[in-house]
Amino acid sequence: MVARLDLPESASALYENEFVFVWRNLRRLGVDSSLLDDATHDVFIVVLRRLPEFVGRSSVRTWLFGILYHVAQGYRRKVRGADVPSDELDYLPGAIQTPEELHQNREELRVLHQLLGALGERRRAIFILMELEEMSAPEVAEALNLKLNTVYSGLRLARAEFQAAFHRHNAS
Amino acid sequence: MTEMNRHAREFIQRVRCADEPPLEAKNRVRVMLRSSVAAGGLLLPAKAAMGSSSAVGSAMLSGVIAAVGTCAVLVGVAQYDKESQSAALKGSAAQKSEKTFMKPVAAVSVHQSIDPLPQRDSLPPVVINGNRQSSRDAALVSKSELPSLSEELERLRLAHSALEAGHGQRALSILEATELFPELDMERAALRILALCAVGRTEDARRLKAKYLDRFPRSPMSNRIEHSCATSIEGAAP
Repeated sequence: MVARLDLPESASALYENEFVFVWRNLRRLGVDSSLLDDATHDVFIVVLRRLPEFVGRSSVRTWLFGILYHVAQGYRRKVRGADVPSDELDYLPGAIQTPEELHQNREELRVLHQLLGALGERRRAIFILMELEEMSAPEVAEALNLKLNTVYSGLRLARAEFQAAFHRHNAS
Repeated sequence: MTEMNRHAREFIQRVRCADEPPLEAKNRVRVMLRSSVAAGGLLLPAKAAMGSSSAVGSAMLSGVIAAVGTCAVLVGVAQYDKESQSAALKGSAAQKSEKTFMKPVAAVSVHQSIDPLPQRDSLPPVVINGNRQSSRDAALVSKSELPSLSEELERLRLAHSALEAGHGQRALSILEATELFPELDMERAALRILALCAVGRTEDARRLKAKYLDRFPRSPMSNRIEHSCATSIEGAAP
């Protein structure tokens, strides 16, 4: 193995810079808000352990998402098997300035997570990466270890599912 | 219907940047990470996975721990980040990071965490989450009954220790109980293959190796898997 040292950040900077990325995408992948701290902690535990393996072939975020995707799967399984309260978006987003913004933001985030929940697991991840994180299809393929064609077909289906769920929500 | 309409797109545009954690979450998780590291040896560099990068890995690992310790007390790690990155990129040993940046509490943590694979015969108490506080007691109770990732990591470390000590069968026994976290699949599978090789189950090792390399083609452990198993099966090298 050839160790490449072209990490864009040191490990501590990785935490400082990517905490929000990890946290919000765990949330988007369906981790209950009561477990978000724990899930984020577990992601960075894996990150710390695997940091020496990161060889820079992919972007840091692509690599991170591959890790957090699996952690989120584990936490969703836990919630299904345990008596964890259903998620009601009980956290307060940190960047909101006014009560009005806070209210609107909370409501829209609640809707977003509800709509994302209508997508299948893989399509949800594809949609998050491409539509919300604005990654390219090759990056998504790298993050999720998928073929490029699978990413494109998954995105088409995910958009259709999201649109349908969005329409249903607005019609209700 | 393959595209989203304008309303859906506008909605996505609005929420794209709005999904931020509460301000205190970053500090909470930072403290949890510090507790995990201080709990002892959770973040050991995996010999099987690190190869020639182990010195750098240790330096970077030390850097994280130093930052975790420092950030819990002080605001701002920009200077640390800059210097530690430079040290890591120059291939400096872990000593430099510890000496330059460690706070007393963190120094203990680093010493524990980079101590190579301590010999333990039993799992330590799971204290990783012990100091966590949650605003939702019900969730906390539920979580306490769930297996923890740190416990599984510890089992994998024990399996690795057993393997390094030449106890392949014991390593396999330990690995039997570690099937809970898919994020550790790569390490678990690699250890299992090496353990199978160690006990002479070369056909099983070969079978798993093929699956492993197919599933984790870019694993940093691939070379070791290829070397130890392939050579024992094919007899091409000692």
